[in-house]
Amino acid sequence: MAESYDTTVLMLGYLENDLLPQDRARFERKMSADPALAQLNEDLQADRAGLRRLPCEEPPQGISEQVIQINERQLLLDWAPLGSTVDAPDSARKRYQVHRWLSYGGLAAMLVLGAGVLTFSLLIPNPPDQMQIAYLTPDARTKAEERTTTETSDQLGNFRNKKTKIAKLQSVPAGTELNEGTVGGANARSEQQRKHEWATGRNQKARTATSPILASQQEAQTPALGMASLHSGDIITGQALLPLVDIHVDTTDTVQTRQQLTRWAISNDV
Amino acid sequence: MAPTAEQKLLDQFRDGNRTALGLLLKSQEKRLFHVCLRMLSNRDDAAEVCQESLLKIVQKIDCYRGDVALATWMVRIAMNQSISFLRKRKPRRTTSIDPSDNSGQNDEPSTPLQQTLADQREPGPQRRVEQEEMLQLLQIALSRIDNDFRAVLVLRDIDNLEYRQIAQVLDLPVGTVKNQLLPARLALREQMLQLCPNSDLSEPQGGPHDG
Repeated sequence: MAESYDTTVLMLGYLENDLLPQDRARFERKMSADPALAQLNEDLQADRAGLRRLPCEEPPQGISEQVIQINERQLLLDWAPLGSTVDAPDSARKRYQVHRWLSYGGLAAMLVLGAGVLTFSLLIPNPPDQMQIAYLTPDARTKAEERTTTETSDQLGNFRNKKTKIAKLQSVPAGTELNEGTVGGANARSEQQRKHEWATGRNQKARTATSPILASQQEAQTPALGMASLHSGDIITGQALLPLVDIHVDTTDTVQTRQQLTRWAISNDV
Repeated sequence: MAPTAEQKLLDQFRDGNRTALGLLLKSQEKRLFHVCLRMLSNRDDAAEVCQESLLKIVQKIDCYRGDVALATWMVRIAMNQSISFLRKRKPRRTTSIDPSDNSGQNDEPSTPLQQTLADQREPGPQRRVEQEEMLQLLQIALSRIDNDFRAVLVLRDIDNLEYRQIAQVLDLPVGTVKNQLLPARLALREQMLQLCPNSDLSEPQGGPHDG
């Protein structure tokens, strides 16, 4: 084992020509005693000489120039200050990378925001009024609330006016032609009586509204009213109430009146 | 220790002379290409890897701290690029020594070395022709041995580096490099015997210890 290791070390040293003279002489004595070892040494030396004689080929023309061009192209595309920042390349590269990630992050945030708005608008196409107000800025929200309050007050006022008007008309006997004087004559009725009559009329209105035929029958029973021009909020019988619609009844023909009422009922989804 | 020519060019480049970088690459491209060619045994692959190596040198040149010689550092990059290329190239190419043999894995009409030798071949003594053929066999045998063995042989016998430089290039201890040399030579000899049992590369005159 030790002899084999010694032979290996001597052979390597002999091939590399870095043996001491006495070791070199010792190995040559071994080779003279062992022809196979001598042949192997000769072959290895021949291989080594052959490797050194391998032709040194020329590289492709302009390979360095291509590398310089590629490098400059990368500099232009990436803005990576490569050659000019030999002294401080790491900080410049890091700064460049930070800027790149910041721009990517901003772009991603914009995409997420756009996708969120699109999704919300698709899922909730008509948000409730309260939700719409919630979206507004504080000033716009205050204005919207005021507008809503005003509209509600207007609707309530109209409702009260109609209620008063209906109460007046309910006091008119059947067959009386409607005019301002007739309507005005009802102003003398007490408020309590108006409320009672309003409640009665509302029930009647509900029944009449759900049944246009009933309304037309009542119309047929009061032919004088058929001559009157009824407008929004007016009634066509003493107690029947038609709500906020424009309906003009100008005939005493009960069939035509029924048809008009039926069309109105259909168009108002009653 | 006086600065080498490469070190001077690097200093000029660091002082702002951008043309010095081109000169530095130009001064080393032949040597690097030679290393790549002997490692890869294919001229096209060697050109590709050599270009990648030069580009990497340009990109990493600010990382060079001078702990090893600049030329050794550049050879290290070329060697690492070559070994990486060989590892990625899974199906190993084999080169036929018979130009008429097209049934093997290699479909190329001839290797670059064969082409070079054919161009250089002149009518002359038969001995010279035989030696050229033996060089072809040697290149083929070199391409068949293990990558680590080939790297050691290329750096030692072809690039003529010292043990210390080889250790720096391969990032190995010097003792490991010495221990790998003889097995590498024996592996090469084994491949030569498989290719040509009666191979004889010995020169008619001159000793092996010329370097």
